[in-house]
Amino acid sequence: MTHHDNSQINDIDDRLNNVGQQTVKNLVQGLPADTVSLAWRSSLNEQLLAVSAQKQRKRRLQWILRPAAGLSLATLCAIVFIVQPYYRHASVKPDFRVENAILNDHHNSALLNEVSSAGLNSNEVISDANSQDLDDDLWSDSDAQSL
Amino acid sequence: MKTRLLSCIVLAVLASTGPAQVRRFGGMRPIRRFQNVLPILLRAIKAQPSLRYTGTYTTEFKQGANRVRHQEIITRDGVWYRIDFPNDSQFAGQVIVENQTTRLHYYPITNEIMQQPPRHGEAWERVANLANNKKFVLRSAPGEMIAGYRTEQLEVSDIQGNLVQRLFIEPGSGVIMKRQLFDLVGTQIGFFEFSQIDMNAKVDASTFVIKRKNAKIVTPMLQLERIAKRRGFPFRYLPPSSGFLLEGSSFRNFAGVEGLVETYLNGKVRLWIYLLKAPIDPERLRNAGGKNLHVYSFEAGGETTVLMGNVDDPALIRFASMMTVGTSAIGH
Repeated sequence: MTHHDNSQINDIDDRLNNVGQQTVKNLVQGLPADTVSLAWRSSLNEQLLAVSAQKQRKRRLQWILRPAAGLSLATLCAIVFIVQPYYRHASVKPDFRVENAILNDHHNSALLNEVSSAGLNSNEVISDANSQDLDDDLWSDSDAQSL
Repeated sequence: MKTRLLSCIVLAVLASTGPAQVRRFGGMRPIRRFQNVLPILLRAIKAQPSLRYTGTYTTEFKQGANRVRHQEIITRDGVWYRIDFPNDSQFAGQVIVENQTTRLHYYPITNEIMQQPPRHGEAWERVANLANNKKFVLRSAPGEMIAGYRTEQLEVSDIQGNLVQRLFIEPGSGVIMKRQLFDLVGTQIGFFEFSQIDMNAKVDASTFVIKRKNAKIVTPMLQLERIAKRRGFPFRYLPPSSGFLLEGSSFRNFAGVEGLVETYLNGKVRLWIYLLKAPIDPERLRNAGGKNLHVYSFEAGGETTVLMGNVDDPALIRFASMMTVGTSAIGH
């Protein structure tokens, strides 16, 4: 220990023993001792128990729900990717009924144009204008006059 | 002064006949020079533009499994036609009048006059073209008596000898008295035949006029708009700038799928457009189409549009891109 260190310790001791420090020391020592009440401790324990029980219930529920959700998702995927294509294949059988009907209509229309010459063609034979139940509301006199 | 007046007259005549010549909607084309043509066919071809008669004929065509038949009463003077229907016909009261430039069809139930491009030239033009088509073999033979007239029969077959069609021509006048069409296996799929004809009839020009006060004039565009509205289709059509004019449209049911059929004419070339409320398999149509029937389809706004006709694929694609969805037919 050097001469310089000894002089610093003496300086700290002097400061601690001064009047201000002694006054604060006496004030702190004079404060009443603070003890924790038993009732508060008991209520805290009850609350902690309740929270822990709730957490445990939640964990148990998750333990059941998570596998169930996974299983549902797997089932859904199976339906979408495995079962559905077979279902689609079975229901939309390519029988070309609409396409065949279009081709037939075209054939008949072309044929009637060939046979009819100046007479009625296929459009005119089945025209709505041949029937009495024509809904005339969609066609007003103003339409005709505006021509 | 006189030269100017003459020039004006010439220009006016050219201007008035020009569009008809360019469009050639059903107008009689100049007859080409036919070589090695059977005399009876040549007689019929040459006679067509100047034929004058009145008569009644029966028309029949196969529609699915059914045969649809009706009678028409015709008055003809060259390129002027009038079609009436017998009183017991489902079409009684309707009148069709057609000349080189227009076709008017009066419907008494709706009191409407439908205005369309004419088409009378189509059928006889195709008959004329048979003469120069190397895919067909023509053979003549004595025909049957039809409406009291002796006829000469003209059989048209393919190179393998399969009968395609048969014509019965009255040799004195050149009138086609009967025409039969056959399918690939020789079944008759359509015909017309005169039951009565007067080749010395006096025909008055007023016969070819339809006058009906308060009758509505309906253009094919307006007809299309009306059907589209009523049946819940978009008012989608091919504009006249394509060269094709709308001839008519009708609502059909294709195996449970609602469809709107539009037919267009450009001279003798026909184009069919089908608007359908369901998707279709375009490959099936294309495969079935064959060499003379081209098909193009596209989907838009929930509907499928199919273009069909003896028009090459690039033209069909171009027409498809030209198709317009209109809001109103007025003014088109």
